[in-house]
Amino acid sequence: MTEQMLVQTKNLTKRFGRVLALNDVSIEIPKGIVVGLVGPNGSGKSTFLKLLAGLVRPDSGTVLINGQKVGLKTKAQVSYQPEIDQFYDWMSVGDALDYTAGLVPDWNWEKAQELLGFLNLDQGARVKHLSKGMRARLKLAVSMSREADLYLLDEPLSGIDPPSRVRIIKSLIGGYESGRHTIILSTHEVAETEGIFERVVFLEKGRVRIDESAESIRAAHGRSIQGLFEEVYE
Amino acid sequence: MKGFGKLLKKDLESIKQVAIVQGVGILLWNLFFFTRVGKESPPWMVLPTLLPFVLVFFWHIMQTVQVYRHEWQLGGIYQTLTIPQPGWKIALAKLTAVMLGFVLNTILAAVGFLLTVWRAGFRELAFTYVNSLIQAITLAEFIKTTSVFALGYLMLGINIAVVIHASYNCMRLTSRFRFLLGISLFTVGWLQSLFASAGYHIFRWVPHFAIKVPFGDPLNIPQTVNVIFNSSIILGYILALALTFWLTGYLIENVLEV
Amino acid sequence: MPKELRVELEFDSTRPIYLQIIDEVKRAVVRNILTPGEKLPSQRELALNARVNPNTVQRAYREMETMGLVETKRGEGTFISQDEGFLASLRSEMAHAAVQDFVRQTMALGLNESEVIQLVSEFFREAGVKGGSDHD
Repeated sequence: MTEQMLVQTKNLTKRFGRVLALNDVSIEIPKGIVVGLVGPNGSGKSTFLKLLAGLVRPDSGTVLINGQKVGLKTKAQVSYQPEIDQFYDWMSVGDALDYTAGLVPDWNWEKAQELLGFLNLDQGARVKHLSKGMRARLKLAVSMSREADLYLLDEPLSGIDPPSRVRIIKSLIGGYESGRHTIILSTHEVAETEGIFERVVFLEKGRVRIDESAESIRAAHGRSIQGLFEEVYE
Repeated sequence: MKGFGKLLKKDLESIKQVAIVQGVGILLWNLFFFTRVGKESPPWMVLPTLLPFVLVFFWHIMQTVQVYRHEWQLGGIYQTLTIPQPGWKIALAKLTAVMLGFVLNTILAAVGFLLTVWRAGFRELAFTYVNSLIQAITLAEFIKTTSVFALGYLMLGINIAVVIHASYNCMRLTSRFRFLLGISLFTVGWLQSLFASAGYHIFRWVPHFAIKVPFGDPLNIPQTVNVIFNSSIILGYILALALTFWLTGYLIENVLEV
Repeated sequence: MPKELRVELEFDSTRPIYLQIIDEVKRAVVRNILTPGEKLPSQRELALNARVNPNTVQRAYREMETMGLVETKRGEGTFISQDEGFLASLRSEMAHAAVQDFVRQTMALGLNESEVIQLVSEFFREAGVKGGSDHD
């Protein structure tokens, strides 16, 4: 190995009961790129992200982040955004930011303020009164206000209104610093996000089906990632 | 302790509703008897205000479960388990939150009881009784005995919470079926007794200590008995409590899955 | 304020995006939408508007610089090259490419050289298309 990979998984396998959620997945992701993790529901995307975040543990195989096994040290370097809402009813938008800010070592208030403004979020609004799209925006503001090495975003666009999607994609691009940030974003709706992916990993039934750079998929297959997606999962 | 305050606030918020309903329940109950006692009322009218002391334990159990359940029902657990906070700190915040609820409810119960006793016209009697207790064993001994009782009460509350928290997390390990809670409780209880007996052997060398407990007819000078505590049993028990708590933190940090 | 590049939101995702950005700039230059010495939008701006990865835009800008289409002035931004010779050759290169495409397609329909030429002059006469001339 010549270069330290940010994420390194080797023969990763995870079962839930009888379901084989991940089957022998070996992936290496360098620092500083945006990876699209695509596949239909149940293909193992969420499980893969959860394994990196430390929410589930492998049955066999290994996960290394910055060369370390997943634990408190890697959690300090990884900002994980679940698909489900993590907020409590008592929280206002400001409380939600404040809460995470107090629990992680890498919070950046400047970035948080910027994101709030760009995403049109009102600090005083109660979380339980927010629409689904606004909650999705808030989730993004919370996860992207950290100065993490690795951002794991599980279906950040799933089931929300188009204006919120556009805002979310734009704020990802706006906050992205080439070479410094690494984002793994899972989605089953590829069309809107494919422009921001540099590399795309197609998962199918817990296995890696395709793992290629986005531009070479376009060059070699002469089709969009969405097009390839439709063909692969037909 | 960076982050502990945030965790504690979150845990207090999650039991707030339950705790408020419980507190108001105690308040109303006590208020009912407080307004009905008087100089002419029969002395037994004071007794129902002792009931909240029993309820406090049941309600303590409810809060203890709630502080974890609430987080699992919402998505909060996803964040709790992916932030870089050690398991013991997450567990300690929850323990602290429910113990605050427990202590507050106890204070509510005690205040209600004392006010009712006072209004029922037993004030003189109570003072005389306490006075004669102190005379029987000296003030220092009286304070020591009271503290030991208060500490015992608090330890009982902590023990309930620690065992239930360990059990709750054990239950989450295997599956989410509720009946497993029973098995987990049993397992944790068994583990604790194992820890305690180990502690008993470790602390065999620690000398015993005694307290004086007065008893008898309040109008006569009470008699006293010496109650001797086996320190090694108590230390063993505290060690068991600490290990059970550590188990919870370990499960949260290293074993739990969502 | 730099003119907006048409890549905005409209890239065709079946071709590498960085190539499309380059093509778009080339086309804008040839059509005089972007003039020599004119400033291009910043990489971040373009990435945001087109909703593409900043690294992709960076790659496009780097390649354009290598081919001499743009030059980057440190701290100021990226500008269209002032090298008239290069721009002229770019224009002819693109014209050649367009003609090549057109001829290939018409030949594929079975037309021969004179038929194609005749077709082209008829087209210009009937449609009254002005071949880029300014006088009327």
